[in-house]
Amino acid sequence: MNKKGIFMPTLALATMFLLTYAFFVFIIKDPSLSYYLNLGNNQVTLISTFKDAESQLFYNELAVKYSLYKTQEEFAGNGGVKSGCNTRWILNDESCNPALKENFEVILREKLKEYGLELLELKIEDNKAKIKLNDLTYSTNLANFQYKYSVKQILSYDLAIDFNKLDKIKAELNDCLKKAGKISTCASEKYDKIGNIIYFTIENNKNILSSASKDFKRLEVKFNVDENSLGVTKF
Amino acid sequence: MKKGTEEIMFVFSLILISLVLTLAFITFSIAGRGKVEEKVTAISSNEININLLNYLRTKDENNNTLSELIIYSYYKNDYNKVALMLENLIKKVHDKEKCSIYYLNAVAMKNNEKLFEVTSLGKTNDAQRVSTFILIPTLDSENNIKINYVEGCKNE
Repeated sequence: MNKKGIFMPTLALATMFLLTYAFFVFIIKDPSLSYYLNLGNNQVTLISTFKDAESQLFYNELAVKYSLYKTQEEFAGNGGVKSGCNTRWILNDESCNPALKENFEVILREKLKEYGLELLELKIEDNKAKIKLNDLTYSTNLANFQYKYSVKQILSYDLAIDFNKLDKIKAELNDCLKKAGKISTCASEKYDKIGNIIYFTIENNKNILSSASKDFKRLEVKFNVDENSLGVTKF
Repeated sequence: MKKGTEEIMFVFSLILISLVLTLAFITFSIAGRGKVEEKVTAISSNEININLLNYLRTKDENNNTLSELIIYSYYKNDYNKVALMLENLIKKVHDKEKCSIYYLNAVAMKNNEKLFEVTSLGKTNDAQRVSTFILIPTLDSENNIKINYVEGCKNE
């Protein structure tokens, strides 16, 4: 057989051998060597992280909103004091002192916990609640790709409870207690009086979704004080 | 070797090389295709997740988001308004050229009850469909509503 005659069959067999060998090496023996397998894996991991973070943030935003609804409802039902006080404000008392923001925070912390969230910080300013939760953190530690992605969770919502007004009444009652004056001369808010008990009803012009009625309703904070014993008598 | 035999061998070798190259091309293409599509799907899934989040964050005339409206409808057991709003919204912003179909449904997870669905007519094959879901909390912290969303889009 001359050289010219043998070239093409040899080339065909060599090509077949090389491609079979390549198929064995890249596809069967070690798929990780495949070019396609590693294409964009890290980017996809990162994009999936953004997606998970956005979905979780969306969930938490609503969970905080509903926790706030439930907190406000309970807080208003208690009259701003603890549940055992029967909506009676007793200034300087350890348990029935209207420590409004502290009492609100205790309830909110509990409601957030039901959704698996932890309250880090609560600020109430201008009838708005600013809530700080734990950062959402995602990370990976792959051989050739490391990242740590954190999302801050600071949320702000309007409140349906008029804290400004409640704080003002509390300050006026404290003044009354110090001066030993009559509430009628200290309180600027409207109230009803039955015997020695003075009843206040404070409402804000905002609706919340009630967890009791499952409908939107306007909240009223109702509380009362005993004119004769505004605070705890100290001997 | 006779000249006639050489020519036959030459032609036969050429055919063999063409066959081997074609087979190799097909084999390597198929072996790689699955992986490439996996990435494309992951990226598309992220895109439609953002679409769904935007739908659910859209506010109505009373400044309530559609997600809140879904929860309210759940308690009222009346989904007509929210389903209509979602349908109009998706129709308005949905890329009809690229994505001929969409499908959205809401399921209460506590009892796995299907609440409502919004869908368009259209055809795509399974490979062109991308899906995602988002959970919405309710006033009951043990019950979430799951919004499933599917888009059927042509691959670019």
